[in-house]
Amino acid sequence: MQDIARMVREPRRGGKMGLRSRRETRDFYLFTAPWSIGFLFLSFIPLIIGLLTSFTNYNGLNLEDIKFTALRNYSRSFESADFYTSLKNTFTYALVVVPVGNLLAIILASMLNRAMAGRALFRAIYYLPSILPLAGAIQAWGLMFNANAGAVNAFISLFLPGTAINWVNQHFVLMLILFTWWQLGGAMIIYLAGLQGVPEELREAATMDGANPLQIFRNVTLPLLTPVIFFQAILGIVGALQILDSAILLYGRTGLSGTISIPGDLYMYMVYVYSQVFDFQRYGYGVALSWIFFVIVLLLTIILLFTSRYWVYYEVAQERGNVK
Amino acid sequence: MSQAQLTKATGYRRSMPMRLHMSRAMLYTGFILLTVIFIMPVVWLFLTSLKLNSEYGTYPTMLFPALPQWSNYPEAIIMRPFLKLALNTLEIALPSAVLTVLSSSLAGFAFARMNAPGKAALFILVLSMLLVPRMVTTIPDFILFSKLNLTNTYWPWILWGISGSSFNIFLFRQFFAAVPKDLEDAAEVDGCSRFRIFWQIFLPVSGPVIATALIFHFQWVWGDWFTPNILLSANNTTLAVGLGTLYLDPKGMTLFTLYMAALVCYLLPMLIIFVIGQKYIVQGIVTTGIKG
Repeated sequence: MQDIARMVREPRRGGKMGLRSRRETRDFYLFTAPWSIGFLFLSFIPLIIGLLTSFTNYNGLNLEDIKFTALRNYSRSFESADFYTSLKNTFTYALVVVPVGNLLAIILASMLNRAMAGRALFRAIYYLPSILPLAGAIQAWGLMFNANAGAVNAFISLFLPGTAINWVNQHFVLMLILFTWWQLGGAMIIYLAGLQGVPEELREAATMDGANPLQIFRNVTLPLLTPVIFFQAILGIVGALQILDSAILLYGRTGLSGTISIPGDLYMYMVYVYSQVFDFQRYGYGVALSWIFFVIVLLLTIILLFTSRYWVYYEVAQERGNVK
Repeated sequence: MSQAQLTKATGYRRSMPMRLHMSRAMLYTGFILLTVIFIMPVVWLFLTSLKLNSEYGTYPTMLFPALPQWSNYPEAIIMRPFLKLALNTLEIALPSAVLTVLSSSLAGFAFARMNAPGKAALFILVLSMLLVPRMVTTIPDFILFSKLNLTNTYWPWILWGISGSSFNIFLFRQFFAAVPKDLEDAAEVDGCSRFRIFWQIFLPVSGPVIATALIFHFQWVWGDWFTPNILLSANNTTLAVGLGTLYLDPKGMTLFTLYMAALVCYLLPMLIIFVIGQKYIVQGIVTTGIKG
């Protein structure tokens, strides 16, 4: 990340450019053209269109007699009970799944970071779930927790015969387990990569000074991992807050039509947006909801960025080659 | 519970040999327990797919089918349009994966190895798109695509593919930034164009990153329910959307064991890719140093 910061800080070259650098500039913009043209038409213009739509009563068909409604869609959001319920559900979910997932991933990564037989195999196995397509992983877990056909109840029955817990009503817990399982491997790999950036000399020096493994982890490894934790926290929260497909699929709506009916604790913010737009054709309102969400995510990111200076440890430019 | 054991086990790591053995044993027990938890959903799915539909959900739960019903598989795959849906999914996933890798690697190369006014600002734009919730752009994209009559076609994925992805651009930039300068200099002296340097020197050495980006994108399309659900209809949709409605009996009840067999086949391509590509992904992530 530091080289990016350096790049951003780099002074702009003013004055006349030589032929060489003019050609370089041309090449740069050619190379980035597919992305930038795509960005313009598929992100930037849509963002503007979306923002404009959010001030209207657009429903997908009324382009001729569309009405400008100013902030009506926004004020309606704040008056809606569904808005608060779904926001609360989503935040509860993200605030559990991100810290728990990352904590487990760090523990797992540091266990698997040292030489031991079978290390590669265990790594591969723990990574396996993250590669499964989400739509299938959800069904697999739904089956695991099925009241009669599920492995979990079958297992509990070994100790408490006659158990048939109706897990279907524990959507929220199920969702947490599913996502921890699905994301743990990916996070573990990233932390393993981070751990490889922790110089062995530092750990050895701490051992010589008589620190026990836990102290070394706490005082040497963990601080050096904080940039990775920071990266994971931001992307993890932004990702977790956008949970949509899994909430719908877990409850079992698999068809192409029909409006969403979803139990209260799975009613996530994006499910709310989705059903407003695609089930009720309230485009203007739906986009307004998504913009409110965007602002919330931005504020959260800014807060995290601001707090990062107190807990994220960046190594100050010492002459050491391979730390990025 | 196993986690607690694991933490405890490391705490004793550097003590006496006897305790070392104990902790080793505990560590492996923990790892093996965790392994069971990690692969159980897939194993259970497979076991269930071999049951008779009448054995599904009987009480008490049967661990194994009385007689493995291998015929569930041909019935799930051949008797129903599973393969057609799979082909649709491939038709979307493959071109868009290749396009997104090409576009992102080009941009990543430019951000890593070239200088131009406005570069830093553009790169900040790339990174900040990681924070924009998908819905904010997808709803207007959907409006746009339906006005252009591109819904019910695979064009949206092609267009999204061409425009690359922030994540992949970042991945390639990190990788290319770490390649030593000498290679490029020599080629430049020889008068190679930048595109040739990219195509013949940089791309060939970026195997792990290409594999990582390809696999991630393929997996994403293979498992994505939302996008095909809003853009496509029953006859041209993907497995993720269509699978749920294929296995109904005439009364509209789900034929669970057939559905599970189909799900196993749905997971299978990713499992195969995983076995082949797992090493590259790990390498790809480690060498690009997403570590921050």
